[in-house]
Amino acid sequence: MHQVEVLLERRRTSQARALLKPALAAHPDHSGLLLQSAWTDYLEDRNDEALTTVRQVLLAEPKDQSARLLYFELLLERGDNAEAERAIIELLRDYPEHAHYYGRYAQLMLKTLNIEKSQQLALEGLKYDPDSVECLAAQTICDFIERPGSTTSQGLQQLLVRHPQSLRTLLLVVVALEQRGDRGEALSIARELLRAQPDNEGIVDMVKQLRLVTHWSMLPLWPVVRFGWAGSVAIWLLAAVGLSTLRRSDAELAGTIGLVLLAYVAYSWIWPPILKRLLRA
Amino acid sequence: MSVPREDLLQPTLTGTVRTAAPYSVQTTFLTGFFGGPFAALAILATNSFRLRRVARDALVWSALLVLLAIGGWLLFHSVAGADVRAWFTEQFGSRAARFSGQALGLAIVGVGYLLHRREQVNADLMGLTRPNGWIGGIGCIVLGMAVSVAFVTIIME
Repeated sequence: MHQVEVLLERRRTSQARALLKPALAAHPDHSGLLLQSAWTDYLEDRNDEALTTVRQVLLAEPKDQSARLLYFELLLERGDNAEAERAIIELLRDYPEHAHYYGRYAQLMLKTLNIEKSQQLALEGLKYDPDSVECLAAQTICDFIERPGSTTSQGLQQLLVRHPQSLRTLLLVVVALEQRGDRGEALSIARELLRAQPDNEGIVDMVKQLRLVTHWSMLPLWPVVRFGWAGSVAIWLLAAVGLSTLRRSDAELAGTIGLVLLAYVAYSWIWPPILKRLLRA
Repeated sequence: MSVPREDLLQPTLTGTVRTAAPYSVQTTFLTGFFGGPFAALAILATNSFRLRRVARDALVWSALLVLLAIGGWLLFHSVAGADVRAWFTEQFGSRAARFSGQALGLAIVGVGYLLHRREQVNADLMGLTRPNGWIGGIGCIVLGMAVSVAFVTIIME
């Protein structure tokens, strides 16, 4: 069992499964082996199988900490947020100094748009473990929500100091750079992350999105990419007021510029989705 | 062993009505732009319901609605209103009504964004699934246009 545990920590799930198979054949009701099998399924995204197995484990061992955490994670994946909250609260009542659980609860609160409670949970968890990646990540996301584009996220600074190599930290650095408008740098880091984890769909999507917004053909759309919908409003306002003024002095020129603007709007609507399909991560 | 803050361990996600991701900024923008001020108000109110912020936001919608009603009435029943209409028509010609409707719609979208900015950023950062913008957006545009027609008919009588 120890060997499987080590393999699961390193996410070598196929090797773990190979070891578990004969052991489970010999002891099909062994809770420890079943739990390791459930974790293996979870790490391989076979969540339905994992949930069935972990429920079986919890019937035999209702207080097992690892089984309860896995149950919470599986409920979170399924979007059964109310039941996930009940599970994590019960864990916190039994292990009130476990910062990781505060961090996971904070992430659940972010997923359900409860920003204040998420902030409070992250801070509470950091009292017990100032190094907790989960709590620092939740704190960082709360900072990004409160002050998008700010470079003074305390959570991110702590993550960079305490966990500079963590994937979580680097992903949040990419988000921070993107929010600040440094999309080129964000893309460089995201590409490095993709080299390290080529199968990670989240990173693949991130790289695709960053390649899209940094592509040379998106240069004419810079105001929209940089300032979002506020940029679109500014362009529309300038066009409406400018063309109305120009129409009174030179109607023909105003008509030509109007057509160019129409083409620009059409380009901004049609080209990005096409480019997104053409680009590969 | 220290005791965690009891208030933090009270469930938040109870009950049948739960917080849901708001319509995206893109949907609210296009709804306000194509549907005008009442459509923008409709999608703003829908987002308030989805985010369970009705109690906090109702005062803002009410104030915007009252401002629209008073502004609209003054536009057709006061000297200053007539001057404003004349200026707009002089500046924008036949497009004056459409342009002012779009501008008001976008202004209300801006107010909505300021109200729900944190939730919008939260939803983007956590990759939450947004509701179908076509259904909600078109519904609000149709409703907004119907209300606009009724409103203009009433105040012009």
